[in-house]
Amino acid sequence: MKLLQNKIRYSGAIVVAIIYLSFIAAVLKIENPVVQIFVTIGINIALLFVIVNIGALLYGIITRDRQQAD
Amino acid sequence: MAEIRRFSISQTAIHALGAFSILVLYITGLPITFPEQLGWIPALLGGYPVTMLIHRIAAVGFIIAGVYLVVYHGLYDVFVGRSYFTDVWIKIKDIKDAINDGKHILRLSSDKPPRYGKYSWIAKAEFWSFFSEAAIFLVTGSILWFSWQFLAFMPPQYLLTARYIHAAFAVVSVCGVAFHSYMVHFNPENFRIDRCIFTGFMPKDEIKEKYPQWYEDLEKGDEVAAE
Repeated sequence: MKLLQNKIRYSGAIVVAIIYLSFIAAVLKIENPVVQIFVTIGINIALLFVIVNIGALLYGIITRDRQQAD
Repeated sequence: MAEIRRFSISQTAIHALGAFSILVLYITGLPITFPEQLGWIPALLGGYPVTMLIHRIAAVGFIIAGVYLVVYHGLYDVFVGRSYFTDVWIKIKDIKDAINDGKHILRLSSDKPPRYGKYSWIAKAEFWSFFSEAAIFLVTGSILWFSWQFLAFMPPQYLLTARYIHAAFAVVSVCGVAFHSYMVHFNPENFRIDRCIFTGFMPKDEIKEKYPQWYEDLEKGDEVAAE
């Protein structure tokens, strides 16, 4: 269980770090093609993160009453 | 299990509307700043005019949430007493807690970790950073939305500056949301989702563990439910 928790914690932290680094690289307009691929992946992950958050938000709102009843 | 109300209905409603609006604003706004990387979104939505229309509809939702937060809770604070603003106001203890947390993370202190009240310094920092970003979005977004009207008394370069500020703070704000998502989804304590903001209630045991100072206040009967 502890191992799984650490995996979740570190994988989440890595994803957030990728998003931050890709935004920094995008703002700095680094021309390197490898960096540009990284930026594309990072920004798309950020957007995926946003879409997942909308899903989580709607899930939370829809199941709100059920959880209160539980 | 005994549960305590942590968020009022008003707070949960503001969070729902504000969060949904800003997430839609990111989806429709980021492709304008990063067309090379996210050009597929406007293509999927039916072009940039449709994307901009959705962006503006979401902006109206975000403004409603912001105005409601300020007017309702602000008036409640002034005329009735103890609103959400009273609880999230930054105090000296929060600065001390932030320093102590920093020391703990860097393993520079062997003292006990800070005892959080109802809202930790992290929650307060998140709230005020989103609040100030929202104010910037409102000003710069209004200039961009009503650009022709603003051009009547404002040089064109101001518009360009407003656009840069709007985009820059959007990126900062997305980074803030990424951090917030990490805390409420990936943090093992809350994995997969922290439901408190939707139900408004938190189990007493969880309060005792996460917010010992608040728990103590509740036990003493010092804590008055804030609107």
